[in-house]
Amino acid sequence: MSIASPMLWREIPQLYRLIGLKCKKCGYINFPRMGSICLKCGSSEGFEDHQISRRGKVVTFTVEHVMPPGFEIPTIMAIVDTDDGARLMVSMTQAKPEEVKIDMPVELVFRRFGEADGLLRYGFRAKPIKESGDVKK
Amino acid sequence: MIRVKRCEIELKNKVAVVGFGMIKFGELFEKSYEDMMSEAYLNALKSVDKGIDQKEIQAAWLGTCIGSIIKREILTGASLAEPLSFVPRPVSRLENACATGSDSFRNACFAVASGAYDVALALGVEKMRDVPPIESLQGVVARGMHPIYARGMTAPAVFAFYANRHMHDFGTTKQQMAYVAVKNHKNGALDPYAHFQRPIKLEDALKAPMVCSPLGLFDCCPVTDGAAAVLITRADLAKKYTDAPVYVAGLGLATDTFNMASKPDFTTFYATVEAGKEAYRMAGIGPEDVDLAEVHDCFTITEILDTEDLGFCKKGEGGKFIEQGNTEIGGKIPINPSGGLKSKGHPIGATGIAQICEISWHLRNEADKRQVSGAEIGLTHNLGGTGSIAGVTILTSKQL
Amino acid sequence: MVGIIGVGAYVPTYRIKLSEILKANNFPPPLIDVEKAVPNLDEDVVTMAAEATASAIKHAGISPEKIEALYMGTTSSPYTDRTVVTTVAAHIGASNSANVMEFGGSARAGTSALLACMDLISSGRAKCGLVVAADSLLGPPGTLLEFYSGAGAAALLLAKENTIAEIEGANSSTSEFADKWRRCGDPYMRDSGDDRFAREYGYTKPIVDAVGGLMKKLGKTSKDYKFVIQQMLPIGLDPSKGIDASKKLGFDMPHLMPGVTLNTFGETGASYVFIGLNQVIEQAKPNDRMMIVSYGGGCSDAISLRLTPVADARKTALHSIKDFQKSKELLNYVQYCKLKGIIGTSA
Repeated sequence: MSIASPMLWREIPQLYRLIGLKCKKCGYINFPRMGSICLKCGSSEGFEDHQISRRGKVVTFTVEHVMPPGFEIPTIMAIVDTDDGARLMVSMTQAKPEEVKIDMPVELVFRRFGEADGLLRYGFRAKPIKESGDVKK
Repeated sequence: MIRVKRCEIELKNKVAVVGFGMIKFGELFEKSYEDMMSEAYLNALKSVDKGIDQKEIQAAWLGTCIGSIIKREILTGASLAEPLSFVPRPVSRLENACATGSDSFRNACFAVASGAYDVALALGVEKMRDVPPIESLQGVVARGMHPIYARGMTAPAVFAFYANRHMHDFGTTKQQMAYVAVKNHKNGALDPYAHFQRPIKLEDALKAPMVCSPLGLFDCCPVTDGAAAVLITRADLAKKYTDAPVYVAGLGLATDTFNMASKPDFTTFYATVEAGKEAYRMAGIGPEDVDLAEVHDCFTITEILDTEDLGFCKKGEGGKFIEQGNTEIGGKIPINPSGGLKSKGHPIGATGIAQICEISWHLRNEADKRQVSGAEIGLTHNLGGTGSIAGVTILTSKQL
Repeated sequence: MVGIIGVGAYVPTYRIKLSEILKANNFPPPLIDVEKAVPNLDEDVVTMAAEATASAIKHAGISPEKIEALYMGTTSSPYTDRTVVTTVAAHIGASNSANVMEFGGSARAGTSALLACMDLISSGRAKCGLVVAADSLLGPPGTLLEFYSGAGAAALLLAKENTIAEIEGANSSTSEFADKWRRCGDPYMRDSGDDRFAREYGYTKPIVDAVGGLMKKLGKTSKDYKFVIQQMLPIGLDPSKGIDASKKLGFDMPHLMPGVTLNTFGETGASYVFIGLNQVIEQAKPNDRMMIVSYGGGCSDAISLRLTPVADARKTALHSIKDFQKSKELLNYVQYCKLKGIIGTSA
């Protein structure tokens, strides 16, 4: 699917800015967008835009060694809990498979996600934080 | 998630299964979707002890999961009605990821219990090997899901997430996961319907190439073609067809989220827990009453979690429980005597129905070399998506 | 007076040493070993510009809706026909009424964007504007252009109040000169191979004219400037060869070296002088004067800046260029070729 599709266009604040939908009633950060009802409490009172933090840690992960043609080998997928209580699934970038561990600190960085129909896609991936602290946000 | 008062359905002893048909699962390059479907159907008809006329079947539920993608046809009820000469009778096509089979069965049971139909057919069929193996379970997910949110995801990765966390939180080992594969291959070697009918060694399982860490090749079920069909009737009509009907005592179906990031944790499949609770409640029994179970072991770790989530052992102890031999055919609670998805194979839509057939054979003492002795209460379990949907069925040889 | 209210930069993690490239191509080892930055496969000018912009916004301490213009300079946009600065704007949450522009043409694209933006703000048409420059460059294997072609991005936020550096003035010089070029669809930069001709007539003359003209306009001499952040030509293996222009203007190595990143990050094209500016601002003191000198294809822009006391107050929010060195990782030649697309990968 290319970024010319309405589906990706609708999701720009989520995909390019990591804007979560914080439930006005219970505070749960709904991400990605899925209608107007809060997953946690069922409220339809509405959401407010919430800028999800770019720092977090790995909750679980897997190193995928067998992939269909056209995918990075290995691909490392992770579930990340951000500092402000959101949870995301992301692929990792610039991570060495043997270094990835549960509770590892990561930074969410804006990277390219391949292309479709010649149009490039962008989104967030998790990059390990080294002790030198190259996190600025 | 929202907690609501459950609608308490009473289905116990209202529905019975009287026909059980399956084909041998495998890479069936020479058999088409329709070939497999008709073979399973005819086997189901032949299995009815006192005979049945095809025309007595009034409605059907067709369970196929990825049909449109591989078969290149928009699947409808006609996809069953046409090859089985079932036209113009009603056929619902059902898709609920890997729980398709269980849910097809469930819907057919509700229809019969409501009195709408006397006899119904639930048939599951899946053609997976018309494309290279990597294109079905990995490719379908990697190419078909959201290109940014799910980029890089594959089906094994879902369960690998759970494996890594379960190993971290409870100390489950790769050895324990490999043991599941060894046990299921040992059972599958006794099952004429299984995709793989040869035992494997623990060392081979441990040395197998890595697919999605920590899952290696032998931790993953194969890509399989197959079909299975069952005939369902009202309990009070069952004796017309057989003196040994299999009664439906409990039916559970439950959901969880599909979005991986919305899961509360990665060591329990809550859909399984909820579906199990519903089925146990309906049947009026607990896990300790179950004599044998066919559970969803798409990956070895999944069987470990299923064993815990269905209440056969405590949370976190699944690996140890299985390693101690408690789930062997002669053990405390035999699990996957058919060889499970690992050895029997997992043609997605057919799996749930094939599990019904397997349990039924044990309840009727027809399971041959893999027979669990004295089997009276059996359980089937299907788990689909990212643990998003689970179906649990409890079958009995006598009305409870 | 219009000035800078925030700066940011981004340099990719990976580096390759010149010695590694030379060895792979059977050349003798360098007299002085240098490094250049190599972007990961999932990075490009858009992702780098986005990171640099976010960093500048953090330094300035403003909210993104206040940015009324986003001007971007690059020669390596992935598209010939599609605006990429809108992706950067969407990433930071700029308002729909912001004006965006893209500048190209040569390594001078960054200062082109800067000149346009400072005029926009001076004129009063906008109160706050973003200038961002990014490039990801490649030279033919085994050539000088390959040895130095790096990647990076840097951003400046401009406004009239609370500036950390005032822009005192600008001057440009133009000539028709072909020394480095890249046709549409060609992944590699090309050059004439005639370093001396390029250096004297392409590089030195426009720079001397632009900078000399600016100092005259402002009534200043080289003694008034502490730092000169100047685009370097890939000048071979001895950095001191490239400073003829500077010497003619009365500058020398102590003025130039603090702004040099050619030996750490490589030739970063349109972003080069702004990355150097980030590096200099970290060590400069209030009232220090600095000269930005860009160069591309026979043309040069010179911009004179003076650091204000506000710069010190904002120091903690500045992301140090040194961090990009602390977290760097070295590649071997095969890994480098895969990341640059010279050889294929599975993805």
